[in-house]
Amino acid sequence: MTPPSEIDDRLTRFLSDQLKGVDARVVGLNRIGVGRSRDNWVFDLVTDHNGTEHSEPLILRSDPDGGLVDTDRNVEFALLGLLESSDLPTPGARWLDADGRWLGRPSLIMERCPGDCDYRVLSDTQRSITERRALAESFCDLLAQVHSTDWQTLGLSAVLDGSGQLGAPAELDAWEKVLRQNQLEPLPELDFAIAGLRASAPEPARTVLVHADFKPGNILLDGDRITALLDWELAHLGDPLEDLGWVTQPLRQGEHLIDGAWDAADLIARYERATGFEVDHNSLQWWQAFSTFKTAVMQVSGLRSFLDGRSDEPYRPTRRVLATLLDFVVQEDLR
Amino acid sequence: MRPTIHEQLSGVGRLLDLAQESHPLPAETSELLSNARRLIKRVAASWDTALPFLLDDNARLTELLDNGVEAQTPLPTDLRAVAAKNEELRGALAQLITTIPRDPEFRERRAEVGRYLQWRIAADPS
Repeated sequence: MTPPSEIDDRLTRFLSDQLKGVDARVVGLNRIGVGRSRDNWVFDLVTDHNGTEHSEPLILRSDPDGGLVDTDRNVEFALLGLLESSDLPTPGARWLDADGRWLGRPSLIMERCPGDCDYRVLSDTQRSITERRALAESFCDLLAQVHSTDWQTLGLSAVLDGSGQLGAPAELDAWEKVLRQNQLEPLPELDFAIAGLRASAPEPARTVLVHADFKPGNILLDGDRITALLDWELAHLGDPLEDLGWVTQPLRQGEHLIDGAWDAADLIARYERATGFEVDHNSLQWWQAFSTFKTAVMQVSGLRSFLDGRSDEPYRPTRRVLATLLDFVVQEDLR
Repeated sequence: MRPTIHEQLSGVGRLLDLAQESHPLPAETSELLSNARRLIKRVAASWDTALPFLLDDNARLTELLDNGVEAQTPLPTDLRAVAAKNEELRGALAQLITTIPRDPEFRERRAEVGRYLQWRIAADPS
């Protein structure tokens, strides 16, 4: 892990270069989050303008050595830049070190918004059920807002690949590619799933901006107020049911639903009201199964990172994930 | 044979606990120790049953694939060879899966493969 003094030196040199000689200091550099796989640093950039000091709260986010999925930091940076002119709550992207020449690893420097992320906020018993339900509704509305983003007017197709086939077949191909790059042994369970999913892939309902990792853990909350939706590294143009399948899949119920107060049917009904689009339940089931497949591929990729010594998290395809996936594929074939 | 595999694994777990409790550790170091403990637990949980599971799985896979290569079956005591055979058979099944047509008349064959895979996921001790 890079020591703070080295990060400080690297940041100062990088920002001095970017600011073309403006007197700049990095103040209050502090690593946030637990775990060696996440490398996020908060700091204030203090610049001097004609004798007046200006301080800007920023966050440095560096790629881990062994992430679950390789993503392109250029794309995320460009996307965040374009989204700044939308109504979506996203952090302003300030600087990019795409190849890690300055900061050691590919890194983004973004505006630091107030608040905290808590992936278990909907099960936080410190909050009342009414409060948690209201939060769940606001998360659902935020997802609807992402899908209602006018990606054509914003020019997102210049950044996100929207030239070829979109939706289920394209996503299945993309994640099969990740699997093939990372698998270390035959995994017939996943080959069986791919064959079944490919045979039943639905047509896209419509094409929208898909976040692809929508979860409370990526939503910055200041009290009950959403201040930012983070982690756009997997975003692409595609089928809105991809995100809806991700948030309603059985494996992530604990994050997105509230026992007895907010179930998948509540979420879907509110989403339909917010977007004005009816959800095709058969297609949604496919996307739920795909979400489980994606999780399994991330586990395979995580195992590879661990065995290569690039990560400290001993991931592996788990029984729960594989069983959920196979149950869907077998049942789907019998329908 | 003392110490047994389990005694050695539980010894490692105890030493990791002692390291954790000896003085306050940075969160990153605690996470490393937790991950090490998880790995040891998995080995301890699967060690005794790995060989019988793989032998059973190889027999089921051989029957499913209908390749009948009984003569080259490794000796039941050689875990490494049994695991290598298992990987070979799983590779053959992965290949087979890509060739089963999606036509309705092959539904039973797909279901047979699906049932086997569900069994394996449930039975795998690792």
